[in-house]
Amino acid sequence: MTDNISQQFAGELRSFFVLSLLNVVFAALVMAFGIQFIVISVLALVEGETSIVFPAIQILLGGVAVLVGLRWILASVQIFSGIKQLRDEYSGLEDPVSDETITGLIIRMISYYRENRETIQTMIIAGIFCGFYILILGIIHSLEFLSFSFSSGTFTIDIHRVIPSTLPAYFIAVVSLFSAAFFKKFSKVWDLRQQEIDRAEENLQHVLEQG
Amino acid sequence: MGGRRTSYEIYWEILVFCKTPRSFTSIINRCDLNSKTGQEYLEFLSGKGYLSIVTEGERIRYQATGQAAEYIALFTRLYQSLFDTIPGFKL
Repeated sequence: MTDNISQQFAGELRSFFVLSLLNVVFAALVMAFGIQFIVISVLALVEGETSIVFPAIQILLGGVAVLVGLRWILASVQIFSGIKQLRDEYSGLEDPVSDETITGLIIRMISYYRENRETIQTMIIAGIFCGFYILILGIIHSLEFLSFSFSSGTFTIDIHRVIPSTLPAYFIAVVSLFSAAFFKKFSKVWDLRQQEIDRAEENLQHVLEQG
Repeated sequence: MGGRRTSYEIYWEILVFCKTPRSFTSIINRCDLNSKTGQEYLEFLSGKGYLSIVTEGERIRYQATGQAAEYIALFTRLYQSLFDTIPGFKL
């Protein structure tokens, strides 16, 4: 039974490690996207290509993306370093892993989850927020390449310019939403385990009191 | 990385570590406890008969008794069953 549990534990550890690592990367991308948005808007302002209102709104939105991205990176690094520590410890074990060693690691994992539960919940919300936010930024950016003809009543969009500049935004938006969904899934699994532990405590208390 | 552990988890860690006689300092270091709470846990477990005190000259050591085996086994079974009963996390 221990071998099976050990493999399952290792699999979950690996999945969450990858998710945490990707999360750090995508948080950095959100921040980079915000900076890019600000730089493009400042350049547009300096060159006086457009009115001041549109770039100013873009700078403000880009600034929010930078702040959210920065906060997201800090939270992601905290989550990542904890899971890396656990993964390194597991990797250092020699086969076969004993019952007690794997139980000790399960305790470490659940206590790690209890400690970081709030941060993980924040990351779920941040992921959803960033996903929709970047999506909106991408749409706003796309509008720059949209033109409307009053005479014919038709909309035209410069697809050659819109795709390269907005595709990264849509990619980051989709990835943010997926990341939030996977964190939600992870959180749900460990919340269920915590509920099982709460129920099991009655049994443990009973055995301890018999002492 | 002690994290937020329940007292039952700490009891288990102490009992497993004390399968061979251990000093107070090594227990609190290994189980990531401060002196005060470490003393409380050891007193509780000794009082319930899960730990016996072994004196070697001036040195005091703690060792898990046969009674502790039941608690260790139940705890191990309960925690490992978390991976049996609940579908795991996968990317």
